[in-house]
Amino acid sequence: MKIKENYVIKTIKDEFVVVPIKDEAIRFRGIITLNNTAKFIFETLKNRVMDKDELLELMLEKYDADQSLLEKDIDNFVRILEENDLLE
Amino acid sequence: MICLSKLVVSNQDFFETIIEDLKKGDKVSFLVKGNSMKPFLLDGLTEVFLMKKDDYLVGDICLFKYRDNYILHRLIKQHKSHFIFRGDNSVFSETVHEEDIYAYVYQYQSDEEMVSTASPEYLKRVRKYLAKRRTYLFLRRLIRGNKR
Repeated sequence: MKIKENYVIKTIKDEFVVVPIKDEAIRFRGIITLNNTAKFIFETLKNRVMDKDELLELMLEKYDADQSLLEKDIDNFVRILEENDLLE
Repeated sequence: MICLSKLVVSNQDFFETIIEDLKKGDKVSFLVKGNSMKPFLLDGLTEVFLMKKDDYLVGDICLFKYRDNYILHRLIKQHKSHFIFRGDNSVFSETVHEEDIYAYVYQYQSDEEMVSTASPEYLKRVRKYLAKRRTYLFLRRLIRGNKR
């Protein structure tokens, strides 16, 4: 899975938000916010194609967290990405 | 724990981010808040598309800073380095310096229809509306003056 090309991360104050670029414009409507973990996954999937297992492996290296919790997080996040049509 | 939710930010923070992009030469869009530009731009319904340009012209709807607020109003007069703006649905005007103007609306979307602010149809509609508005404001001043 991979994030579509036309989505970018912007910083508003201290918040990370995802906005689409459509019709040549950065469209600040219906924007969604990411915490640090979600930002890491978003940036990873923005730059390369990965499946859930590869993503889990990467997150286990980066975060000192329980594997089942990370798996749950990845599943939730992928579902949200799918719901918002952010995946290729 | 992953969080992905709707974000509520202050106008100040929101526009600072947008202005940063505009200064880089990017085009941006956002939903209009408020009814001061009625009937052309409607609260929560109209999406405006902005970009910067070198020379702002009378009639342009511009994003500018006035008394620490970010405002989207129409340029109604230019006098040397001063630019005078007023909302199409407003009574009061704002005088600002050129450095406080960030961009202008080159198109907007309402009811699924994309309107170019350079189109003859739009310009004709604006001229007609502003002429009516000027008459209204003139009569308003006259009536208020007579009451005093």
